[in-house]
Amino acid sequence: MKKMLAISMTLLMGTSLITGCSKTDSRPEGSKSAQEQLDQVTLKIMIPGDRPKDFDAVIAEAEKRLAPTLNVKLNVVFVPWSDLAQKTQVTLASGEAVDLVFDAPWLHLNQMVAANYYAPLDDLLKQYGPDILKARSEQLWEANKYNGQIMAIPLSNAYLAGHVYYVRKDLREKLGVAPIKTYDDLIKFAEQVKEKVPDISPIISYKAVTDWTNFRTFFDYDSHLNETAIGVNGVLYLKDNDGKVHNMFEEMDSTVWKWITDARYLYQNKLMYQDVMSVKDQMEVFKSGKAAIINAADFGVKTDVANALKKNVPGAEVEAVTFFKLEKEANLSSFQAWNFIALSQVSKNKERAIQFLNWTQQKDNYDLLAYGIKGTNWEPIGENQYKVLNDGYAWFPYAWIWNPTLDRYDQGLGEEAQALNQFVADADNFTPSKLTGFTFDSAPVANEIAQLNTLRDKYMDAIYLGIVDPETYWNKYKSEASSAAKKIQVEMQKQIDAFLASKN
Amino acid sequence: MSIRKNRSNGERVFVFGVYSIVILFSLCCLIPFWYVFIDSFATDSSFGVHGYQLWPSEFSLDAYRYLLRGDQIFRSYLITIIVAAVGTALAVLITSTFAYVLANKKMKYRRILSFLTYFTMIFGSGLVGFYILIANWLDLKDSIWSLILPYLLNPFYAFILVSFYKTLPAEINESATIDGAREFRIFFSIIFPITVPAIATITLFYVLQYWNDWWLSLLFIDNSKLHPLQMMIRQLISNLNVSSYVSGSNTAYNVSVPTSIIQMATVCLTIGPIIFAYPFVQRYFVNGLTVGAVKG
Amino acid sequence: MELFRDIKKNVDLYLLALPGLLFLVLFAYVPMSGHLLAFKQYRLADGIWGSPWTGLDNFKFFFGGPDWLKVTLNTLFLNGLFIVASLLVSAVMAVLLNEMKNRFFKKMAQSVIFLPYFISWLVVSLMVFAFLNSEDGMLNKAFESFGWSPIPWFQTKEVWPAILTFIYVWKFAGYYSIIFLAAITGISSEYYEAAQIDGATRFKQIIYITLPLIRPVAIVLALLGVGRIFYGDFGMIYGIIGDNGILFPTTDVIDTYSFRALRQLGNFSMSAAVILYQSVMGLICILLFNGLIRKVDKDSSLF
Repeated sequence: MKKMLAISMTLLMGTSLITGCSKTDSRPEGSKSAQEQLDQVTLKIMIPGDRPKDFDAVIAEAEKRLAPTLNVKLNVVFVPWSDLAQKTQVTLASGEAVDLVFDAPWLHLNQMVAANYYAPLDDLLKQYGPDILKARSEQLWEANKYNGQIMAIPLSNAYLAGHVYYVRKDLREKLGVAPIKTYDDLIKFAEQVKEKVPDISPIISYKAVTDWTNFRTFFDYDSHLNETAIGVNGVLYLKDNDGKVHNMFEEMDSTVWKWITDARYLYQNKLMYQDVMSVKDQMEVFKSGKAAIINAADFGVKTDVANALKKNVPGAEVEAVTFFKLEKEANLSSFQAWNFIALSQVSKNKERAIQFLNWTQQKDNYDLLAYGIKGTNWEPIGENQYKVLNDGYAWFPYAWIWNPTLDRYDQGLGEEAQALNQFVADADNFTPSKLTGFTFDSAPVANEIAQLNTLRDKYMDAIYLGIVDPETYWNKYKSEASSAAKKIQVEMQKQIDAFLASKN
Repeated sequence: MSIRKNRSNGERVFVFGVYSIVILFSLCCLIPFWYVFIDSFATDSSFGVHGYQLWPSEFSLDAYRYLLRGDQIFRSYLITIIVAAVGTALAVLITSTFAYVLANKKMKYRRILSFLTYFTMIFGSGLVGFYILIANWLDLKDSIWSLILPYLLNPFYAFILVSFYKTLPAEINESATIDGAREFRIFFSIIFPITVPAIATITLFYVLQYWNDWWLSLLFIDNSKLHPLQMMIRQLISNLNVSSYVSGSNTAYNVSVPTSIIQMATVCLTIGPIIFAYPFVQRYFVNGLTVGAVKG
Repeated sequence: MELFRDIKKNVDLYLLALPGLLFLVLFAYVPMSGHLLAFKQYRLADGIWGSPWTGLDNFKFFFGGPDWLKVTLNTLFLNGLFIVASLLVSAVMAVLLNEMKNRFFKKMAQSVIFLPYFISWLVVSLMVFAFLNSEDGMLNKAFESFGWSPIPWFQTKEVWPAILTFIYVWKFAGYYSIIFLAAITGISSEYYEAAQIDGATRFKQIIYITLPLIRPVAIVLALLGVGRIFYGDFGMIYGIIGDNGILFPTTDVIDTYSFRALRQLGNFSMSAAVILYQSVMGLICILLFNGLIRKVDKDSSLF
């Protein structure tokens, strides 16, 4: 009621007027003379996050280094995470002059590519981006093409996201429980906690803002269950690398059903934090010492979690438990990257933008933009680790320059995590998924996806976290969502078959 | 005698009722706010462990230290104040004259005009069209005017004013017209002064609207030095949850950022100046004007 | 022709309205053509006029799903509760505040009830959780100390319309009561003096003088609310309920529903379709109500 614009604000996006694209607008001359070297050009780069305190100093240093060669000035616009989708979308849709834009499959990369907002990069990379190409494996490039073309540069430092359970080591030792090796160990520990430390919850399940993962789905080596191209919904899965889309409504997989019944057991026996679906940030609960086990992304224990817990609960210690198999080819990977940087179609500095990105893929320059000024913000530890010296330059290489070759790891993670990180950064350690390089065109079933998404939010978490009776709610989910799920399954299978046929 | 006594008894019950209801409701509003205020001074760990406390176990200024780092906050305050001041002045002028016309019986097409005004409240403008208008056509990107112009006429506030103008006795207008006064003079020297409570109300609302807005600056201000207060804070707190957006990040924040208490400090920081300005506006609608006196 | 004659006659009035009119044309009506997108498939290169027509395709995701009627009814029901409850409470608060003779107290109370307006939905949601959660929530702890069994509020969908209404009233009563207070201060003191001479009690004065005189303001506020009754308060509902599917049956509104449906699709046209649905239904609603009010009380209608 307060704002005229509230309407447009409430939905992720809005509507548009007249011609969105104004490519023919008169614009100052720019890139034409790039080869003659060095008329100064300012690149506008739009990435998520917050402007770090020492950002100006870092950019000044970068521009100083760039001046004699590329003569590029950098205008980096930071967009708050919560507004990223809207801001980038409206900027692109209006045809405004922006050069490099962050995008991601979980944001709107596929839609933006389909709508021709981004420039194809193959030729530009060949000509101006040798270092960009070199810093990423063949698999990574192949897997992240759109209809055979590179439409955005994948930013990734691993071919599989690490997953762990944070476990309260101090409690485990106090209760005399041996180090945890299996899921059963984990639950036994949780039961001990419930019995002997009644004022805290044994388990809380973490759920990040952009995904719907639950407590169980990470470590499955027998059936290789994976999400499909439309993300998590608890219904459509890939299985056994067989190139088929499996529909749980039609044929429930025993592993999936066990996840659900296990979760129900945890919830009913109050091993699970009861309001897990409503708490704003589950990690905060763990940090304040109110839970003994939580699932988390990435290998190792994050420094801020360990520090916060130590501060809140004197004597508390965290260990990262993972059931990840450090075995060559035991893991499947589709080599899909989660973050990308794209070149806007309307950019008038296309060559220079790629030249700049190429420049960032050289060790010294990467270090500067990723970690800040050496000696002030960070110091190197060997070739591939670093130590943070102050908080003046918050870390965000994933937003524009990330790659598995030049990335350094925080030295605080410890050796075990280090080994795991290096393992997942090597593409050759993985069995390639059959669907590597497959991109799903969601347009024919956009309505069904939208419907399934709302029903997913209505039912999936409650079922997979064990909050409701599995049978009844699964049947409700099924009766409302099965026709949409079926249509998506059929369409996706059709596209997959065509993809596989073309590959052979 | 006895009647009067009875009445004053009833009166006493009445007064008691009035005060107790108001006090009860005020407490409902005050206590949560007190929590927000005092716990913004708590340490993050004391808040994490004990939750909301009427008096935190441990005090610190961590949240404010985090929010007030650098000198951008002063620039941002300045910009917010300029935008709120200029915007409100213009908006009140435009809205009050417009509403006066909508309420004026001499205006033949006022019903159509009212409908067209109300229509914009239901059928908002599309985001992209709006964006192209401001950024491409009016070329207001990175200009302070892009924060002011789009909010100059809020139909909601205009209709509130209309309802006030309608309660004015028609004779005022008629007698002035007979005197031969032009509409400008009637409005500015007669109508405006006697509707000060209503004007004060929408002035306050416009101040709040400009003060609380981050939406326009998100869209149109890319230069972070020109960010108003709300946008600056939005940007600061957006990074707090960054790890939940990016998996595989191995985020190396050694410092655990005091997330929850920052949210509360944010409330206190943005509310501060408004609270100080409030009493100046408040006296107009609490004390009231004796309209009757003017009317005569 | 007639319009020109009227302009000539009331040239001053038209001049006074001119800045506002220009504003509406430029900032509201020009960008409004974006609603056309609901019937198109938006493509950047073609712009809005050039993008291909798709008929009603963009509406299918919404009306083809099982829940569109449910969320529409939820939106109406919740907004109806919000409008009625907040107007009622804020009018009562304004009247009561006006009855307080102690200046200092009156001003304090008036400021204090305005405070919740400033607390962001994010902080409100943290408080709601701290108050209601079943692990160490304040309310359930109090229940326990009385020997009652705790209630899993976040798993109990029936109570949420009431909780949300309470929160809405709490947050906005101060804001709306300012409007009523301004209306009350505009009432001539002669009325009250005359009533006192007639021996009316203060309670009677409220019933027969104050309330009738602030009725037009209440009607206007209600009408303003009715036009937007199909728009849910996204910041509030999504902030407090989030993705807790168990509570959706009673709390999911059109805005949160279409947000969740489209958040991964990023489709301009589909969201335009939902907005158009909300706008048209709002328009129908307001035409009905305004017509009704015109019949009953001509002066209070909006147009």
